Amino acid sequence: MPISLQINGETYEVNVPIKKTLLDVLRDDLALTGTKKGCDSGECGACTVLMDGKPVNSCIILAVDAVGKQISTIEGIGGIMELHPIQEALVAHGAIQCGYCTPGIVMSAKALLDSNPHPTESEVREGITGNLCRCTGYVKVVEAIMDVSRR
Amino acid sequence: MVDILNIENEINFLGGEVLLDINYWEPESLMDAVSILANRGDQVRALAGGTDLLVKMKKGPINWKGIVNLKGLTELKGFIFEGNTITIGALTQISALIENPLLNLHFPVLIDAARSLGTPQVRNLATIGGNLCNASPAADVALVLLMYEARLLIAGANRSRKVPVREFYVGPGQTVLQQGEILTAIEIDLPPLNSKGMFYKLGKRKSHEIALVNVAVLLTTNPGTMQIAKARIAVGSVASTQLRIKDAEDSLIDSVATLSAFIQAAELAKTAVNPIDDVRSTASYRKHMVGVLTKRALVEAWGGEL
Amino acid sequence: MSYSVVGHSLPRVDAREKVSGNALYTGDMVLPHMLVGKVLRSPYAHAKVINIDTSKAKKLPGVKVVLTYEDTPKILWNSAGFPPSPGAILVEDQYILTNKARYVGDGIAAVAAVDEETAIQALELIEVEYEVLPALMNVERAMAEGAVLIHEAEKNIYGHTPVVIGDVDTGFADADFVFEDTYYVPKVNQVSLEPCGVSMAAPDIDGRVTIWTSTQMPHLVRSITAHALGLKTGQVRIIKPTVGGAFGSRLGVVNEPIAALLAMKVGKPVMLKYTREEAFLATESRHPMTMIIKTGVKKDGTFTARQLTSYIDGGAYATHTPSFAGPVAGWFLAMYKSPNIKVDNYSVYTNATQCGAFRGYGNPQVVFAVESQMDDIAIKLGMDPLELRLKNHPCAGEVWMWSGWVIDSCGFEECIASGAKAIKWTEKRNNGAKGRSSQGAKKRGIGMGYMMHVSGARPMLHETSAAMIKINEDGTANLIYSNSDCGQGAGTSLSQIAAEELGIPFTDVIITKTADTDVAGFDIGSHASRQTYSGGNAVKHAAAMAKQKLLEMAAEILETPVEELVVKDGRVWVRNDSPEEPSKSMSIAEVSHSAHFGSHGHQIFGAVSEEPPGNPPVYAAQFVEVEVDTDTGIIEVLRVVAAHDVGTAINPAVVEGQIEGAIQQGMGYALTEEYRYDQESGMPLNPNLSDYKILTSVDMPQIDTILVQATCPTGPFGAKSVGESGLVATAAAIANAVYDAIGIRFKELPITPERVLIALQNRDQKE
Repeated sequence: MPISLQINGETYEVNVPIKKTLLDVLRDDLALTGTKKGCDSGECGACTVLMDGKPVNSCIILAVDAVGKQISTIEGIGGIMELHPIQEALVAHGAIQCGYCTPGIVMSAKALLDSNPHPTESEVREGITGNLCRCTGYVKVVEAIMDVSRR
Repeated sequence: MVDILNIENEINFLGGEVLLDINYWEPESLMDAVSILANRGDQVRALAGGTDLLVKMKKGPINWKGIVNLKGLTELKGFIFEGNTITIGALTQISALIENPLLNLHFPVLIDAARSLGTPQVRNLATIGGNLCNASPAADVALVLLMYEARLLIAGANRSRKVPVREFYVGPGQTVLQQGEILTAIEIDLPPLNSKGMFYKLGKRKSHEIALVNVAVLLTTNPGTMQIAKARIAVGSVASTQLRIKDAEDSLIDSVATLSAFIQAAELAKTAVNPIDDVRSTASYRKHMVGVLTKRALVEAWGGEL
Repeated sequence: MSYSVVGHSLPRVDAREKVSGNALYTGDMVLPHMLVGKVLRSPYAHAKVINIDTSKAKKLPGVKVVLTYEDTPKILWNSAGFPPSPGAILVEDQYILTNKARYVGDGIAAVAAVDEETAIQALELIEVEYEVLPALMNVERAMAEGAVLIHEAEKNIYGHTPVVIGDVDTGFADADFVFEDTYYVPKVNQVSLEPCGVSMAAPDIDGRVTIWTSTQMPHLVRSITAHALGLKTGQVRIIKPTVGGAFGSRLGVVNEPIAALLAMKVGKPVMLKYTREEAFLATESRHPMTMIIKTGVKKDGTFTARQLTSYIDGGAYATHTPSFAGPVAGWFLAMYKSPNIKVDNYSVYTNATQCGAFRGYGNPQVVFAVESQMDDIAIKLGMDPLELRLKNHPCAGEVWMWSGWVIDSCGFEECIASGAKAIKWTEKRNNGAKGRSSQGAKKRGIGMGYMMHVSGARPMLHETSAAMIKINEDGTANLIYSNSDCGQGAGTSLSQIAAEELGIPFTDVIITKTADTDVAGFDIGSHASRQTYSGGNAVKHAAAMAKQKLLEMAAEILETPVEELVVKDGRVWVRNDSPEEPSKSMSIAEVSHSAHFGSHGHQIFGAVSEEPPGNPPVYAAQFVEVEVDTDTGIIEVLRVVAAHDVGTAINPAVVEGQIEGAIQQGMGYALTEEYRYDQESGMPLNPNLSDYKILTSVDMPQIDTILVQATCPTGPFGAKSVGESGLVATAAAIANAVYDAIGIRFKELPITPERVLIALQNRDQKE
């Protein structure tokens, strides 16, 4: 089915099977591979994107269901020349190890701080609890987000 | 006793019956939606938040061939407060429940349950209607709706009806919805004055969990006394549907609130349930926890000296 | 000792590309005409393939090739990424595809098709007739008399690794007390966020195949893959791009041979990407073990005899297991001094997924058992648990039994002192319940565990690293290294070592972020916590070599003896000159430019390929405070203090990150993680992230990391290792804390609420 998707402020026209997920369309059809597939069943958060500003698991959303929504992916947050403050903080605090969970964490953190600019540590942990990480123990990730929130 | 495990944990070695694609509808009116569901029946599924349907679709095998996406039915989203009753549209996201100030004020236990569901990402997609219609005995929001004695508004091709939530379930994954019916809204009356409730969810992690056992209680007191006027005790994950434990409730109605009364009620709750062993926990642990959590919930809901 | 680059928490070299979503992992890559591969997996734990009919699958439009055992080279291989070494016992019992399924998920056939959906449909069309055999799902059943054989061998026990020192019987006779306990640890999965098993193989016209793969061991995977395919080593090229975590799951071949075979048969690139479920089903996990620990001890706390008997469930194929038994013996031997020690490790085949390497490599298992018993011993003797460890651990100047070499640095005393202080050990532990601030049903306790670990695998396994530094015309330097960084930060640490040695700014060192076996010298890869010590020494020596040549060139230009020159901050200076008023000086850029384009016409290189000088052990003491809810059995970890002797911390944030992440894994090992099977059918029960529970951000407690930098004379700038250490002692510390809280000793992991409740109920009934 031909559909039109709004991603990072741009319009993309794609022709996709109904059952193709937003994650697969992003990665396979649009070469936006920054969003990762960690489990493909909504259990790890590596595929987190923002849909109308809210973090969601793109692996359990049909692409056709994303029509009419504003989708933000990691590619739309900062860029390689200039990073978003959340990204800068993660880098500065040593909060990135293998990096596979990182794009999802950036999206969740951004949504958190957009709606709650000065969260407590507990609120930060709640905000990223849908993003599994196996490398960092979350310690420096939480420190980085708290650092941004104090500015 | 139905083994809930087998339904969820089959591994599909051969990749499942791979459909070339599925049919898709995006009805713009409730009547259109109802009509498609009535005509296509077993061949289609309604899509609300997708957090259960998509997972099942990907895991396979599935025996349906089409999806009716309800997102165009915007009238099924939102909140209406009228008199003593709040009506919540079935397509309202769990995250929207959490953000609603009136729900926070009048139905705090519902908010606790909503907060405990899944993860932030899942809560932004999952809907209150989906949580009910998925009919998992472990559902958190649905359990509290059972405690709050919600009424479910159902629309069909030829009729509408209201079903009390305690009559909604038939078994795991099965409700009284007929072919062609859609759950459209959930009505909850304000709990009686002088009521306090409590929700507990037991899990091995603090998020991403399907409850091992969950419990929701509501106690209504005669003000200025130690007397319990009404009691509601709802328990989940320990039978083929979520349960209100009548024996336990009856033992408290018109009783004096004492620790031993609560312990006795908890024992009655424990006796009433018949949980299973599965990959998440054991029957004996779950049964024991019904007693523990019910007692704790009652004591917390009472709140005062005992 | 303070350095300008080493010892600083500089940002990682790959952080920006990861945080912006630009880093390319294997599964992000696409080649023209690329096909998708899929594997057909056995639904039975133990079954012969009687007949397999692929004709319908082959006819499906879009399917390019279907392979079975018949199409695979009849060459047996072993997946473990080890070089030929005294300690590498590589029983070769795997084919690329099998005609006998030995675990649920064993690969029976493989297809390559135009897209994933077609490939899955093709699997559906392959008809297989199985003769189902009994499934042996635990070591007892596998070892039983008359048990059906899983491989063509005499028994399902295929390895026995004995060690005898002195005579334990005499030792036990001499003891004042003898303790004997049995411990059991389960199968757990590494659960790297990038699911294990992703390779993209591309054949070329010259009969070579290039495989981009998420791996820890590029050069060893090259040789095993080549061997499995019947090719020369040089015909295979392995390129490791950005990898999403490994923790041992990629310590050897995962699915490279299948991808390569498909690609070569069809003549097009093939991407073979395992799902999360397949990562659970079909990739190598930690070894479950049953351990019997017997210890003879005198009243004063000295050991007269120590004995370990273990049964190692290796799963369906040998892989690491026979080799693994050696380190297991080593960890046990080396922990505490005793004149009499006996070890018997038995490796057993079962019909579970084969085991391999997972961070710690037997040490978490052994330490859980030994350290649990140590607390029981301490209590019996009336000794402080800390004192018992301090009394018996091997110290600097003594021989470390794991390697047979003298220990050159030991920070353990400081680990104990600083960790105990941070968690308020004395106050909380020795003041009884009052000090523990327990309330009602919730009881608090404090416990600790000690561990030692390696920096590399010498002498059991060969160690070699290669590094090449080339100084560019402008004074920047390329560091060519088989960079096996899977997230642990080795690429950054090695760049810091190079920069420090060369005397140039950190940002002027450009390390090869990918590992390419056509380009970088032979390096063992990432395992045994070796990259900083072994790789770092090679990098440092290569840098020193390049620096020497730079200085010689500069000496000529500056007309100064080379011994009088030093490099610092990107410039060459005369030693002892003041930086504000140097007598003479020139930039490295100028030196290099001269080298390239002056009369000599050459680029300045430094290149080494060498084994590291030794294997200096690292130490740690981890302290844990827990709260046990005695009504629900739920254990909450309130705080972890991890005091680690890592030698010099090349990049403290990187080192802390390794410890912090490992603690999450150690906590999961202790409390929530277990990969389980139906004991009759062998069907896995929880190959998913919903029922296999790794801890989330809200589950993690306060973690305080203390870096004790007991400088090691043989390590690069004094560094040792940290990669695996973080989770080795965690489960023991938690078990000991639980004992302190509720007085119950748990000898089986994970310590689940169900088990706690049953133990409490049993105790209450007895009283």
